[in-house]
Amino acid sequence: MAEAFRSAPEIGLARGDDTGAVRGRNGYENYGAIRTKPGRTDSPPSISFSCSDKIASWSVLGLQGALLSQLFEPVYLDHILVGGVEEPPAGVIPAGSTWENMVTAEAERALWGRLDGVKGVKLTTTAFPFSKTTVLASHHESGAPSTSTVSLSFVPGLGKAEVIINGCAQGSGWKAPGHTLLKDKMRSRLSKIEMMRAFLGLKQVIAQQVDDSATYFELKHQAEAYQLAKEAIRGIPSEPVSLAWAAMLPHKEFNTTTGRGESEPPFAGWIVGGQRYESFTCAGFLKDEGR
Amino acid sequence: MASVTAESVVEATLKSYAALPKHGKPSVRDNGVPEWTILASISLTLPDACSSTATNGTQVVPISIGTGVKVLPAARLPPLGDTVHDCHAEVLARRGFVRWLLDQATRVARGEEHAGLVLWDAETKRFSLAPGVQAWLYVSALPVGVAQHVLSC
Repeated sequence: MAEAFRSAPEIGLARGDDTGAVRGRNGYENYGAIRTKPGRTDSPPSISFSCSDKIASWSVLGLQGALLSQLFEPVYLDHILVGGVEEPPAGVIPAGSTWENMVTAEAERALWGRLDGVKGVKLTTTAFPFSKTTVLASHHESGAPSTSTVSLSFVPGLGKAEVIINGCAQGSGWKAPGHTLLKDKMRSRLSKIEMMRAFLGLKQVIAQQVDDSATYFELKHQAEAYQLAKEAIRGIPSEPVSLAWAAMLPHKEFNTTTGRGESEPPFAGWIVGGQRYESFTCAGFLKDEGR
Repeated sequence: MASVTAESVVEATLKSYAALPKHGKPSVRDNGVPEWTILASISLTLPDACSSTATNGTQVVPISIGTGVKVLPAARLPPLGDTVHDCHAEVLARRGFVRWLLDQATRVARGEEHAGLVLWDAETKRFSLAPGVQAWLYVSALPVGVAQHVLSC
């Protein structure tokens, strides 16, 4: 894993503003700039980082995440396949270049040109039936297509697909974030607390000691090697967010990640909500309340 | 059996998704507006020599599929970890994959039936993927951030 990091700090980070993350598409041309979702600057701000940045960090940290890294060897991505790369109208492509070259170069730059790891990006022309381009082509008379508000997770080995709306399973169950756990049926098996429970369950099966009073944050931070690796690419949450960001976020506990030393980590400028969203125990209590 | 190709990974994923019921897939709204989404998957492939009986002789196993293009705004993040913050396809695909790893590891440890792709090392007390198994990420559209950039060049 160390091998993968070595080249990373050489890559400069061009910053969108004085303290880091670039909202949406602004500043994307800045090499290495990280971006938050969504791309549209008129929608409510989120601190979820753009998928190409997340994929790039998985290619270094592995897919298994902090919790499972304590029990599982890292699982690295070997290949990345990208679809939906239909050619644009004539005239858009500069002379001497092909659409495919442009897309591959761009995808490689965004995904791991900044970091070593994967064997390469392959493009596929096989169309996903619900992609924007396919839907546009088959419904050209009915006006502009719109994004689906529904998400879905299907893990064949775990049974039925889960439909996720507003972060909850079973549809319309979203409620204001509160201090009572969502009902069982409404919690996605992909939520932090359910992942945590599955992890603790596994620990128990292999006869490791389980501390029921530990928070999600504490459990994740027991993965020392993983956290060090994460720091190396992202930095540590140490600085307040910029004034522009602060104005858009609901409270003051969000921080921006920065490097400790002289060289800037390639993904410094990540905005994290941190412990505020990770201080729950597996029983669904906030640490302070549970005591 | 022929070695694994990129297309066979994409086909296996799309076939698996196509077999799902309509609920949770994009539809055409009452006002006629059609919906679209992005799909991502993580599949595992087996080396040529070991299309195992556990996977019915196939070399491509779609493990986790996610679709979606939405995230929760910062103001709606839950303190108890009970809603999913980021519901973009790639993120759901990874989280589903981790759930599957947890499930398989638990089955291996309990001596229950499993897919044969996860191993337990009693000495190091750690799990790992079986040797030669490779992980593939498929995303049906250029990840957020990339596509817009190419098109705005």
